[in-house]
Amino acid sequence: MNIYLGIDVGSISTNLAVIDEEKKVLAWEYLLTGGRPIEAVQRGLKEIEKKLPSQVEIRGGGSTGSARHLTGILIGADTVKSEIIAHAVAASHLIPEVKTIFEIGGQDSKIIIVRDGVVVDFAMNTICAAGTGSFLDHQAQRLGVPIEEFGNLALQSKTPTRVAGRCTVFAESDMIHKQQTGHATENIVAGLCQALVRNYLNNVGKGKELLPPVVFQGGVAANKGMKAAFEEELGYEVIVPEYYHVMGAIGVAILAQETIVETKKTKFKGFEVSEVDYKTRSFECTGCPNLCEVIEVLMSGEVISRWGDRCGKWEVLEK
Amino acid sequence: MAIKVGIPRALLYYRFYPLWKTFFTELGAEVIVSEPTTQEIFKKGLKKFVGDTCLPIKMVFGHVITLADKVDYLFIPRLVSIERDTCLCPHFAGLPDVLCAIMPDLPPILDIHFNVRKKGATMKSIYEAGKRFNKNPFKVYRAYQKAQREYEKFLKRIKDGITPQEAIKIFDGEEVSPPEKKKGGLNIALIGNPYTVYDSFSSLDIIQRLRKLGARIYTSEMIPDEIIEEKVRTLSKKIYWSFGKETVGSAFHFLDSPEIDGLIYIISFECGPDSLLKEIVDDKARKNKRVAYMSLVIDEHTGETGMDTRLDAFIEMIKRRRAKK
Repeated sequence: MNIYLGIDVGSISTNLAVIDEEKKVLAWEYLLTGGRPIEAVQRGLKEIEKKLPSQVEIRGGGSTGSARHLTGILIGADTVKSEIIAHAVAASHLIPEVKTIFEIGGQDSKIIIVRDGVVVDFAMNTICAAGTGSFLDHQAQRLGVPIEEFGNLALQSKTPTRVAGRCTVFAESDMIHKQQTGHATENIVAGLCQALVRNYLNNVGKGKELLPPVVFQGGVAANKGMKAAFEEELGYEVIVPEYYHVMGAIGVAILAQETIVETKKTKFKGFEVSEVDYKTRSFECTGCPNLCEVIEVLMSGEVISRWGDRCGKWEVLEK
Repeated sequence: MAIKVGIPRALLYYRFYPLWKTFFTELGAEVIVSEPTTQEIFKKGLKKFVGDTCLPIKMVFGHVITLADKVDYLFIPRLVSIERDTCLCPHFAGLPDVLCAIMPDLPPILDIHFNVRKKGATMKSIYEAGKRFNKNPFKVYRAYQKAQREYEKFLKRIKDGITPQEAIKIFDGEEVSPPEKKKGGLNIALIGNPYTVYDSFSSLDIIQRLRKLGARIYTSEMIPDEIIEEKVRTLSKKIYWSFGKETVGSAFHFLDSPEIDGLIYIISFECGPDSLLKEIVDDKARKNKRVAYMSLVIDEHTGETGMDTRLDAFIEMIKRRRAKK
């Protein structure tokens, strides 16, 4: 059986997905990046290989997410694409009539406007990354609510507390004040979801034409409180797809399949890369006052790629 | 020995450098320009500035610090208005004072007043600037005429389709190879204040990044003034910021140009005028279904991933839209 692999390495989670020629998802893997993208990718490859039938041939592989370039080098990706495109491709495949995509991840949030299966507009959070997964995680910890329970708890609230949503610094102090005056935890949790939704729609979704069907994906889509808050604000159903947390990986697997149609032959290095010794190191180039931080990727002690220099002199490797 | 005049490579350097340099050189001065912004200059600027202001103003501080011990005079014009009916942001008018207040030990500042709205003011200030080098008003005036001719040539080169950075290089006698025209490449228009767009450090070298992605770059400076005037006349009110007028006028023009595929508006986070003008451009761009549009807000970021993600997605979006047609 021919299969395609997609890897999405984000700030918080590393996701892998394998699809067949019909773009059906055969297996997926969701693990925490933990600040170590290389290890996460290698661990992910080992895990997902176990879930695959024995007679498979990887026809292509792709990478996306904020560590897409690094991952692309590691696995020998056929396509390296920005997560915005990957998310849109996956959503349009699974829900062909989709018009609007909300994606909230660990460190950023985006909105993608799709018409007739093509991205026509998108926006990402600007300077401020308020209201993304990391913040919710942090608040869950502070309130002593396991993050998995956060959404269910929010749904129990009958009178959500008003929480300032403009900025997470203010949101946190506002929440503490509300706690101190005796508001119940479920009301605060529900209020926080509403505040984040308001903030998202006002900042990221500002001025965009939000037509249904809306698909809500990314790690935060697991939070039922957020889904409910979106639905309340918009007045229509918000769809959370089955594979909401690995959509980027599915999307880039589809993109890898598209690429192979043209290039025919894959550059994928095989599942063995999970055994290879990869390291990265960095140094400060003192060639000019820019003092660029140059990153080197080493495979079994040999430099295979470099980046981070503004002038490009380190990018070219001496053979 | 010639008197040394220092020009910081910041703010309106990207618009007026050939004019200023020719003027001072003609009067026998030696012009020294600070190096292109580096991490070091950037850090120095951030450290020195008290209070909070926009990134381009903080950058000036870094450049001035690196020039301070190399020159006899610093040229920091007090720019109030550079064309009739518009003015620059108040930061420009107050800059010489703010610099002196924060760094009292600087070399003397040539803070000539530029305000074309006052009759005769420009010629008077030109003489003010020139008299330190030559007391003869006729000679100062001649130097300025020559400077204006060089400046016209510089503007013409940009109108022919190169970026201001490249036109400055040609003016300085460097070789510039025009970016190759790729077949089927995308035409991307970049708008925003010149000092935000062309300082490759703060803009994370957006122009080169886009070129690497196969784009051909168009900028506001390439658009004739008459077109800009004509486009902004469609608004119910006049735009009284000089660069704002250019930004909005050229944005409207690009949105109407069949050859343009995408428009990117670069804004520095704390820019007051841009935060208002962005709404006007956003509104017009939203109604345009043909040209892809995005705005990028930049601040003190040096991480490139965020910029890459947005640019990659923007270019890919346009390509996919094309393929669908």
